Parts: sequence; structure tokens; C-alpha cells
Amino acid sequence: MTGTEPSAATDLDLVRLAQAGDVEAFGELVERNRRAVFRAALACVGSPAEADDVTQEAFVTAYRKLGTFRGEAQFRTWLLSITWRKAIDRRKSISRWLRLSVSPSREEPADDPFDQMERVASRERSQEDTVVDEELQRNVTRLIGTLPRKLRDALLLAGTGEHTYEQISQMLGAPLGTVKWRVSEARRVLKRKLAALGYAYE
Amino acid sequence: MNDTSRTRWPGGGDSRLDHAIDKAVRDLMSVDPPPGLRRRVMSRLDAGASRRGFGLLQYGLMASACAVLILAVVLMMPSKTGPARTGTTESTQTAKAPTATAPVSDSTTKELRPKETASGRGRSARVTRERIPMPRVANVFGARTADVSATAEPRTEAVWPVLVVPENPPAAIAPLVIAPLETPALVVAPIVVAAPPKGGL
Repeated sequence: MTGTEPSAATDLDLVRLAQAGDVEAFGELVERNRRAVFRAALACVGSPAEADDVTQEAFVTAYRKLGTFRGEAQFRTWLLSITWRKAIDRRKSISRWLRLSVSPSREEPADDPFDQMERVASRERSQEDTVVDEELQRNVTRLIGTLPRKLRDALLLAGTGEHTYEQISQMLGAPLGTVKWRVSEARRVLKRKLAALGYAYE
Repeated sequence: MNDTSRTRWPGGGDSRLDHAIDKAVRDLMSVDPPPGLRRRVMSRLDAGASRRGFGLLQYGLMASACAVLILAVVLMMPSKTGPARTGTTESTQTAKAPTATAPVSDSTTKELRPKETASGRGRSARVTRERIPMPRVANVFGARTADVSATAEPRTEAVWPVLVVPENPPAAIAPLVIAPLETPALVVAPIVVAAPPKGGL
């Protein structure tokens, strides 16, 4: 593919080049998919720092296993499956549990650092939010962290803006209908919990 | 690509809570990776190894801690082993014999014999599997004499401390006589039914 702009090549073309040994072609694949991979990792581990680590590991693993990619599915879908497995392994790792347990920034050990995500989200909040809405947003963000993992994963992956339901279905290893049900159920559970806090369930 | 601004959530609506949930999820997930991700990945590929050093160290420490813990538990466990008797006969000259060291006299008759051979213990409630090595002692009782040494006994079995039991005649037990049961005859008084009064009820 000499003479062809990297940006004009499809993902499959870049994969073929990378399989032939062109590392720069793989670098272009990294650039194209970095946001989708990072946000998928973030939805699982909840921490931007760990998501960055998982993202790097996912790309390295994908490069090593590039020979096994046959092009039957989209490269991004295949890459996201690798990313999700890496993220799950990280979430279950003992070292992560130890790190969270001894973290001086917490008053008590946390299973998922979704309070970090809450701090990230509050920095990006718009100016037009009223005090009441800010409290509602804080409660919603906190309650998202309390959702069962299966529901939370589906809800957050669907909210990244980078993944289709088909890709989410491949990542989670669940049927498409199940993924949609989980998203719907997550929202229903959140609304029920918000109603218990006094917010009107409309 | 999934554009959440236009996506109708499964089961979602236009309520205030739905908007709040949408916004919260958007805020949580609208995070970009730190700049330089491509460079970091490429340098990892060039190095040819992923970042696992610190993880290996942690796993090594965890494994060492587990090994120490297991070792401590094993050492603190009370020994529950039993004798591993192999059936070998012990020499009567060793100190393997029980602590009762009453000298054996020639006139002593054995009234009680151990139920097992010399290599076994008959009555001990404690069962051990370990063979307790005992030092061979020539003679703890001093110089041998024909009176006290077990080797003077013309027996091949080990000499156990003999419990001297005086001879008692067997107890005579009178035969049990069961007297027949004598029951008095039952006397049933006749039932006397009073005649109804005259004139009816």
C-alpha cells in the first residue's frame, strides 16, 4: 500500500500491513481506535489511570495476536473483545484489590473506584446546572456505582458514544436482546432508587 | 457508532430522571485517553514486553506470604501421629519396656498376659504412627544377674511386668431360683341391681 495515505486505508488494509510487519500501520490502528478501547476499559475498571493501562495492554496483546485475525469480523469488534477481557482480568486482579485497600485517598476500601469517576464527571459539569440538579446528578452518579456489574457495564458501554449494541454484545458475550434488556433494567433500577431518595418517578 | 444524543434508550423516556441518567452516563464516559497513547503503545511493542514487573513482584510477595502462613499453621498443629509399628520384636535389653520396672521374680506367675506380642502395645488409647527411636541401653538396672535379667528367663517373648494376683477360688454362684408367682384368686363380688321403685320413673 505504498503511496496510499494511511488515513485513506481501511482498518482491514492496515491490519494486513501490520500482519506483514508494518508497525506504523498498527500505530495508525491505535490512533483510530484509542477512544473506543479506552472508554470500554473505563466502563469496566472505573478509573482513567487503570483504563489507560488496560488500553495499552489490549493494544499490545492485539498486536501479538494479529496473526489470528482473519477479517471475518470488524477489527474494532475483535479489538474490543480483547480489551474487555483485559479489563475484566484487571478488575478481578488481586493486586488491584490490594492497591485499592491501601489507597490513602480512601476512608475505607472500595470494590470499584467509581467515586473517581464521579470526581471526573463533576469537573466537566456545565455551568447551567442548578443546585438541585447538581444534587440529582451526584446521586445518579453515585447510584450508578451501586448497580450490579452486569447492568452497570451494559449501561456505561451503551453511553460511551463509541460502541454499537452489536459490539457491546460481542464484548460482553451476551445476546443483543440481553444487552438491551440490561440497559433498560439498569435505568429502571436507577429510577427506583432515585424515587426512594425522594425524586419523582415519572 | 452509537450516538447517544439521538439514541432512544431501551426503556427510556423524556423524564427528568431519564435526562439525569443520560447526562450522568455521558459525563462518566466522555473521557478521552491521556495524550501520547500511540507513543506509549509503540514503545511497549519496541520493548517487547508488557509492564508486568511490578505485578510479578507483588505476586511473588503474595506467594511468599502464603507459604509462610501455611508453614506456620503446619508447625503449630499438634502432633496427632500414631505409632508406625512394623511388628519387629524389640530387644528385652532396651528401655522400650514400659516404665513399670518391677523386678521379675522366678516365683511370679503370669496371670495376665498382654494380648499382643512384644512388638505391640495392647491397651494404649493413644495411637501413634511414628516409630519412636529409643536408644539402646545396655542395662539400666546395673550388672546383670540371673535373678533380675530377663535373659535368664527361658522364654523367647518379652517380659512384661507381671501383675501378681493372689489365687482366688472361683466364686461360687448359687443357682438362680425363681419362685413361682403366686397370685391370689380374684373374687368378684356379684353385681346387685336394685329393683326399680314401684310406680315407675
